[in-house]
Amino acid sequence: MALGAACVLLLAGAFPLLGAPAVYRSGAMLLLGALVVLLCLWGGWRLAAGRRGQLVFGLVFLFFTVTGLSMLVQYGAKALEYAGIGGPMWAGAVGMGCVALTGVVFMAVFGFLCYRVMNQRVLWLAGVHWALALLGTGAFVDAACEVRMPVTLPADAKTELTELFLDDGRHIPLGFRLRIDAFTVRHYDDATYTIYAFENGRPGQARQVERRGETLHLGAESWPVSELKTAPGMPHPFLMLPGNPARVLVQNPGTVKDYCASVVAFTDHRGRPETHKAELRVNTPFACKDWRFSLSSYRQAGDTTEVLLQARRAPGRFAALAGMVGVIICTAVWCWWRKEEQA
Amino acid sequence: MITLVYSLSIFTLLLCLGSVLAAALRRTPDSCRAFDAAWVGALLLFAADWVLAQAPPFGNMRHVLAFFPLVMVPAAHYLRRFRGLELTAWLAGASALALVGALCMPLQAGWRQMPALQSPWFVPHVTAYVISYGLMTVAAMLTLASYRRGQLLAAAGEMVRLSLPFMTFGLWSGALWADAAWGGYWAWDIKEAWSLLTWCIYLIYLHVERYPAFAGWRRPLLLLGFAAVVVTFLVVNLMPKIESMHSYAQ
Repeated sequence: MALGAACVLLLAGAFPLLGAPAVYRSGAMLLLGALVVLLCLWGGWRLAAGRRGQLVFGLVFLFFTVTGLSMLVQYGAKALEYAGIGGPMWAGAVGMGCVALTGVVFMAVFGFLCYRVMNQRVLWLAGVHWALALLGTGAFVDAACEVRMPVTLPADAKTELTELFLDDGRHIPLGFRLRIDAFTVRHYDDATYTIYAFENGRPGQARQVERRGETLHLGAESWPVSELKTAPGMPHPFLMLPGNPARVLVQNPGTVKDYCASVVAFTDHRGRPETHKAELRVNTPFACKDWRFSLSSYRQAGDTTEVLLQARRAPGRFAALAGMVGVIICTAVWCWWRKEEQA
Repeated sequence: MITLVYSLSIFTLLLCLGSVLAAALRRTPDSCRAFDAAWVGALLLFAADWVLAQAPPFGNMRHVLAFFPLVMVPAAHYLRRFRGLELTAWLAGASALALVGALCMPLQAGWRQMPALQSPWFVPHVTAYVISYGLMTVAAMLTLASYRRGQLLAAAGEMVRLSLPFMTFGLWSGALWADAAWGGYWAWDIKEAWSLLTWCIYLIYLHVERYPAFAGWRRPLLLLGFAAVVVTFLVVNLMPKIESMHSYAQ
């Protein structure tokens, strides 16, 4: 019934044309969410009747198994990245080997214990319910306490972010200073070229220029690509063409491949000042103290690039993410466990 | 290369249709062989798409639809071997349907992977959803057929249990990815809301499936779930008026 009601509310907001997304943040949705969490706790409790200790130990072992796996993936990737940015290969290999070994031992020991303890299909079904309850609890904590704010910071190595100004007028100090030292954008090699003819001192008619190898062609005319130069105040490479009317050949940037901000956080550890440097990318957020900064976008403001970040402090995040991982694993085991192996 | 992609699509489609035809003529081994050959065609098609896109080919609807047969053939083998279900013709039919859809869509050769899509989550997230939607399509076809042959409803339930973990992975891995890319694991984007709605409908099905008192609910729920799949997968992306953070999947 609760799931059906949740579907009706979801449909009310998700109907493609007439939906009202505000329904998701309404009191009715929160109330229903709380009911679903309580029902999940009760359902898991009932399913695990007589085997609750087994279920709790199993989930703890599962948690450590997943921790081992995440250690393998996360730190293994970091070791590779370290080797990739010029660190000695042997150091990366040794680091990765040690972490991989620890991760494998974690996975083997706790995975075995988890397998032995959770050897009944119904316990995994109870696990799905408890993981959903954990996910819901984390989401509730975030709905109540989360601070999320878009921030614009120039990449000028001077401007520092020290506090957030929320829409409701509150100021929230970060507890550290954040600065962006540099910003780089890489494009795919699909740049296009346009010639603008000036009419009365203003750019008028535009014509597309074809690129063949390292030369640009328009009718009988041609120019080497290498002749296009950048200049202060001009966002893109260009070439002034002689003649009357005056024309300018401009390189339009290709599709954005990726962008990266070099961030520096000035903080302290037990009274001692500390500096953390990181490369902030779209899928690689930067975390400092309780805050996480994600790179959303960027824009050009004169000669300066303004970087758009998403600052977020979410106390329920860990519980929600752990719940998601639990739901994925427990659902898979429950659905794919062959029925004849049930207790 | 574009000619090759179209030729491979048609070749794979014909093999899928051949598999369905062989099954209709009660020549099951031939049906299986034709579907296995279709998998080879789909693999070549996937490779050609990858070369053309210069990235994992999941950038648009055509890519995703062309990927369907690649996962349906292993699913047919799994169901036959581990679940004792011979559903090759149904899976081949669903694959043919997907390939017809792929052939109707424009071939966008120059796909450039935007920064948010350059993540280790990209391939597993999309693959899991393709597998789950493909299997749910078969579940819906079996449900419709079960109005005439009642025993097929059990097979449809089996398909849902096979598919749901993929859908669960797709949904929550998307949330984990969004946490890194967009600074929050849930944003109530319309595609997210429909994915959650679809997942909830299948959860309701699994809850009522056990109880004989709700036997009459099974078929409507499975069809409703498939309708939600169609809306999530196609309508949300194809309706031009809808603004979504997932609009790059158009």
